[in-house]
Amino acid sequence: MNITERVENGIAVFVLEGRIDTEGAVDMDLALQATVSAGQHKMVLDMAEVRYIGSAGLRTLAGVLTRNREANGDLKLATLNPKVMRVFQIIGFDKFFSIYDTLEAAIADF
Amino acid sequence: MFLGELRVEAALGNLRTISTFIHSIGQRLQLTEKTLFDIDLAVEESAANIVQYAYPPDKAGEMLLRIETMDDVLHVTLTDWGIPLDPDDVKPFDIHAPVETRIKGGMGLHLIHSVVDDVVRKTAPSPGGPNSITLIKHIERLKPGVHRPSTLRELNAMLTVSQIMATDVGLDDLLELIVNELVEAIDAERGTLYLIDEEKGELFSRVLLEDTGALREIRLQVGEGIAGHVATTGEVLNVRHAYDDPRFMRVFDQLTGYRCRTILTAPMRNPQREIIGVVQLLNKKGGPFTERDERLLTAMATQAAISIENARLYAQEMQQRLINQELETARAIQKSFLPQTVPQHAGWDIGAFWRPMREVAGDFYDFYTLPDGRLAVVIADVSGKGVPAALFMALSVTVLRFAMSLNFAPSELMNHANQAIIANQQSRMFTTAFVGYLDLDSGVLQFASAGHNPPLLYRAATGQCEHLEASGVAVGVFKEAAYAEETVTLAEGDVLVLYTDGTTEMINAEEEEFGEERLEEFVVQQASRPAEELAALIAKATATFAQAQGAFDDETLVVVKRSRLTPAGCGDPATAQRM
Repeated sequence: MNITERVENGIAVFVLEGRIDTEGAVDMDLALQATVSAGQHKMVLDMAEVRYIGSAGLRTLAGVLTRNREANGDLKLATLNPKVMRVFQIIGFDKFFSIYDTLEAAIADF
Repeated sequence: MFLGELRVEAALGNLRTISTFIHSIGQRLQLTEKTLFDIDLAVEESAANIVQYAYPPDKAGEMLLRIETMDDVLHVTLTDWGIPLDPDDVKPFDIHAPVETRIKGGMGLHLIHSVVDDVVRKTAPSPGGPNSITLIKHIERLKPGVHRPSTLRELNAMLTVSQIMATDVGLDDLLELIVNELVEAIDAERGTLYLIDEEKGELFSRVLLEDTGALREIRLQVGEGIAGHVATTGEVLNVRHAYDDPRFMRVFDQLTGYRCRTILTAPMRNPQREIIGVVQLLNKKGGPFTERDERLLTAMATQAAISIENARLYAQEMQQRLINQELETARAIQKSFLPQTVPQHAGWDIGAFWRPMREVAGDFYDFYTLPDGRLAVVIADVSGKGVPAALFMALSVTVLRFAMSLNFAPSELMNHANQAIIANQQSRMFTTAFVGYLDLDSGVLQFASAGHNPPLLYRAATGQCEHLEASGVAVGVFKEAAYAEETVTLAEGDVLVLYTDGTTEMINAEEEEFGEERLEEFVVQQASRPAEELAALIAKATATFAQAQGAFDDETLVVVKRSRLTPAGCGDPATAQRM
């Protein structure tokens, strides 16, 4: 999958593109963990171009969310397409993650 | 309706291939995006489970994906041959648990059950059998008139190529089908598919469309001609004027009477990115091949390569399974020819060891009680290995036993066996054998050898080994062969070791043979061991010696010990000797 990262108002914004399947989850984990390890715990993921997510991706996101919140940060998600949103709902993750309709709203909520 | 089947190694890297396969089926069925997403998800979760849990990390295995429809219900079955999932191990997924515990397990299964209508699981009754999970889902299709941006024909062609391996078609049929699909999808006049013959460094074509007259197969050196160039460089080549290109070989046109104008050639790469062949389309209808054609052919060539590799692997495996079955039967038959137990006689300790290198061996040993009460001890080694050797062994055993039942002396027996074997077989196989008749009261051994390794006779009195030699060549070679007969007497504590060349010719990493000297030394050291144990120890010693090399020959040993007379109240003979 394709991942780009930028910093906006002191928040790490990731734009994800492609499939967060078992293979994609590994790419995503590497990218997110690198930022976590660098001490940045405030993150927003722009998921408009994510077409797919499976349990491996959810597990990775939950891991990063937990680490960020322990460090008084967060992992906020923006612009999930309905199919991806449904996977979050099936697992009940829509209750754990702060999910926003727009990227701006997610960034503004820190 | 059967839609397709995909057999791949259960590896993480193949999950994407599976997803691509699901998508191509989805396109063909005109599934709605939601239905396709759900199936994709359920299949990936199921496949990921197989990849992670079915096979131990050091032992790769396969998985098979099969897709069928029944009316508007889709059945996707994933099969593995590994460790079955124990449903009791899977805790029900708790949707209310905190996030930290929720990620631990059961998430995949919960997703699967949430997105399909039904899940049917079958577990193999015994290890190594097929375990399957079938995902059942009612499908929604796009309404007629709603068309996807990609042309259906291209996708269909691709799909046909990827699913063809599912059926029992041979490789040739598959190649023909692939070429037909490519020619049609890209609108060319004809096409040729070349595979690389790695041994010869050549490209060869087994498919030529339409009637090609006398030309049935084209062979090119890799590097030669346009196809050869593409096979070397891996680049896609779009030749607009064949006769202007110096790489073009006019000879084939001359042979076939066909005239090439435009040629589009693409490499076929397997999933490891190695080039396994080249596809070539000739004469695009209505103009030159376009850039779009180049892209399409490249994509389809990759699909074709995967299918060809799969078909090859599948054929190999089928063949292997057949062979394995035959070998198992052969081994069972062969074992039934060997003595089921070793003889038990007061004052004697007898042991045997038999290990075929493959499922079946050319080695054998035999014990037979002669009409006059003596015990015949036989060891033999048939030329060659595997099934032919095993069959020949069966013949040899029968011949020898028959001769023994007639009370032939050892030399007569060899003569008889030699004549019988020469008369009975045309395959030019031969057997080396050693036959000894042992008088259990006196310890006298009357023996003959047909070119067999001279057995060792450990003498307790001297602590040294003698070699039991008797002249004679292998049976089954010369009609006029003659066999000498010798006699030796086994004294108390003496040990007779019969072996085949599998023992002495065992080779280690330095290319050294285990050899007779090492064997002799070992026997001298370990002579006090019980017979059965000594036979097993020798086999173990040679295996340890050859370990780095890993190559084993058939290995067979027979050990005959004349027990020491134990002084009253002095314990077992081995202890007595050490004291």
